[in-house]
Amino acid sequence: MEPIRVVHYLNQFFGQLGGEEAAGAKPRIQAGPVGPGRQLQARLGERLTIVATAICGDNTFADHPESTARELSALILPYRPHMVIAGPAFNSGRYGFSCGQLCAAMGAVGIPALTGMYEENPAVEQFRSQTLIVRTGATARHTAQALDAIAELAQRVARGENIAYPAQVGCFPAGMRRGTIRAQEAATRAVDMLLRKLAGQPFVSEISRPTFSPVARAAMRRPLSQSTIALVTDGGLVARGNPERMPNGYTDRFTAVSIAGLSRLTPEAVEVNHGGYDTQFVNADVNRLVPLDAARELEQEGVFAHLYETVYATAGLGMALSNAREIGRQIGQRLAEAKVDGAILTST
Amino acid sequence: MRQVAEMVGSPRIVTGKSVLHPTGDPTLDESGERALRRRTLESALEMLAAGEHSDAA
Amino acid sequence: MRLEWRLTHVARAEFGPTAISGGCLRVAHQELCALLAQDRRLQAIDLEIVNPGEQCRITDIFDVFEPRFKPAGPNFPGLLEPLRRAGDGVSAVARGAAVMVLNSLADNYRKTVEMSGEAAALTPYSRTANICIRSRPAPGVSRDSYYRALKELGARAAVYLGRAAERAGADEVEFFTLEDSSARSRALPRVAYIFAIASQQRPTTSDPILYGDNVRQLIPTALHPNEIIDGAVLAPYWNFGSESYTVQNHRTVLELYRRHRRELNFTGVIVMVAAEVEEARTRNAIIASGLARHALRADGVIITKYGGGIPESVAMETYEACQELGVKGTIVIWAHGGDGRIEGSLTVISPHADALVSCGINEERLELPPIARVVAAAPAAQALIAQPDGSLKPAAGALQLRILALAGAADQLGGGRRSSEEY
Repeated sequence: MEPIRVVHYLNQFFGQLGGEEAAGAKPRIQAGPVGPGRQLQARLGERLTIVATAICGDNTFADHPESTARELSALILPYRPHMVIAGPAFNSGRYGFSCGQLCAAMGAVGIPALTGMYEENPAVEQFRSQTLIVRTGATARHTAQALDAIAELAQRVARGENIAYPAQVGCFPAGMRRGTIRAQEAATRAVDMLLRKLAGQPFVSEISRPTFSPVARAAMRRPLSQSTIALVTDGGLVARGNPERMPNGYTDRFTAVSIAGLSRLTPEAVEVNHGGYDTQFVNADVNRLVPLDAARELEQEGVFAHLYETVYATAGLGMALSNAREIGRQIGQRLAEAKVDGAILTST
Repeated sequence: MRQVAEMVGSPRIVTGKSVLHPTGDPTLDESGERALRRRTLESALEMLAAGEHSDAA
Repeated sequence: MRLEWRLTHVARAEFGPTAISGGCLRVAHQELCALLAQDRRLQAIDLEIVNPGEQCRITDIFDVFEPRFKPAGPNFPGLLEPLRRAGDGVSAVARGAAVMVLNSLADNYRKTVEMSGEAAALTPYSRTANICIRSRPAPGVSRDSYYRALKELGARAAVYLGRAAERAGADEVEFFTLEDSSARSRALPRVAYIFAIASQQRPTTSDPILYGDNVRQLIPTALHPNEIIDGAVLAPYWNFGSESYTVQNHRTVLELYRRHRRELNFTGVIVMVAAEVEEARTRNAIIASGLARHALRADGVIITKYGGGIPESVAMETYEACQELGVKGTIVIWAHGGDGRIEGSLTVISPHADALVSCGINEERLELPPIARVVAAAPAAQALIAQPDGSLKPAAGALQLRILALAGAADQLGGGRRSSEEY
């Protein structure tokens, strides 16, 4: 039987380049296992062979994630690995990030990859949807158990096993949802679930509750009367004619609508394009979505100093939360660069 | 919708009139709508202004 | 109240003098068209028949009805016949047949049925003998009036074909009654069903949803489950995932009935709407939950919704309001796919919502192959189907279809086995 070729990835410390002072080490690769890789090889048995070990400094990876991943890829691929194993990173955030980034990059080119981390490692949340991450203890004191777990998972992957539920094989759940067909109709399952709930018996919800961290409440830098205020919306505002062809939903884009010189929003200047609600009322008077006329009044009265001349807008229908966060971040950055002090988001 | 804003952790929320017209109300006449819109915006600005300012330095 | 369904099984349909025999429904083309043409709001009425197993794609679907006829009435009270209570008496049902009403006006929410291929497994209408009716609005008829006329057309055709079932006699009988006085039944958990029968995300004026009323101002109220499945409630024009046929065969109502007096006490149905104004949503949640607890004396409720995001919020708010009164609940609810992460599954999820049944990911899309036969409101060669990106493609060709656009595939009322899982 053909041996399964494994490439192992380690950071500067476990790769025996040094400590913190070597955290800027450039990507490199050498044949065979290194450091903990030897213990891993002992557990992998005869069929799986660590043909090479790639090593890189954690700071290098943190500072240049994409190019470092590309460089490592270029070093790893010539070994034609069937699998890449990274770490384990235990509770080290930067090492975890490196492992996660590399595994995701390998997965993207079709090479199965896996790593191991402790549950509080921030890289778990960031990468569990992109790669298998085995649960490990917090420090290198738990190396033996971590390598046992990694080796066991590696055997499964080598056998071509389809890992449909990571949590069932000692990994963190991916935190993802996918469509499926169940054995019974929803009505049957709903009645079953309710009766169990009423009887105090355990049941499993088919949709779990996410936890969102609270958003920091940024304080205004200066009094309102001296502040620049911006209006923002997710209700689908676009310049008249939608010149940028903004989608009416399911998008990762936003647009900048100029309100310079306008005392109110009019159909000559703007329109509304959003697939998630009946836009007849806001198209009849767009100030019902973005309150420009009232804002101008208050600006003239000096309630605040200046109304920012751009309304950043998107259509929020079906927006993936990762896109929403990124759009929010980009709009926030632009407003901050423009010295805007406060923003009001009107949302449908 | 207010519940969505609360769920994702928004620190400042003003409840608008309706999903179909957050800062408007077609059942009101023009002056009524403008007054409503102004009040909604004033609430939002008050919320921004409330709380400490960071040090000017 | 005792509703009796006398089912006459239909396996296929063809044109001929109207009658059902040997599982074949024959339809008198001329006679039915003449009957339907009496509605002056419509013109150019025509029929086509599509049977299970055909290589056929039906599109421009506005609504679907199951043929039914109540000799003692009322048949679709408030829509077709004068208002009288629904839910009692004998109803002849042509089970296995469906009336498909096609809409000739451009409308992003028209649906498609695929009778063959992989997508056929996802729609119940690939297994029904479909009588498709096309028409155009008469000159000067508004969209709203046309849509109202289409609802009446569907109901009228359903009654006409239901008469054939009545004449043919029953192959099978089912009956529905809540009356029971056994002590054992009184000890079972009491369960009510909260049914959001419309969403006001897209309000219309003529939509005959509840006994012919458009429920614009509906305050939550209680109905007997028989009224739901006996024509007092129809699907709204816009609902994302259901037809009137779905409501006539409401899976959650039927499941609760199936287990009534055995595992639970089905105490009734509360109907409400998902309002677009926040104040109304909160008011409705308060009243609906109060009805569940105090009027229907429910220990638990099942909640379903139509439409999109606001109704998700309504379902959650109603669930929480029930929870406050000690009424436990489950919600049947769809999920958003987004980027696949669990956190994006729902527009809103309340802190106590721990019992959710997923009826699938709503953004799913299907790839349909080219098809031999197309039945549409327009002539087949000119028929177009809207793609997920908004473009239009010839209906007979290869195309993409949103799952919500495949009639019956995205049932939010408890039917179907499409679901989602977390991993």
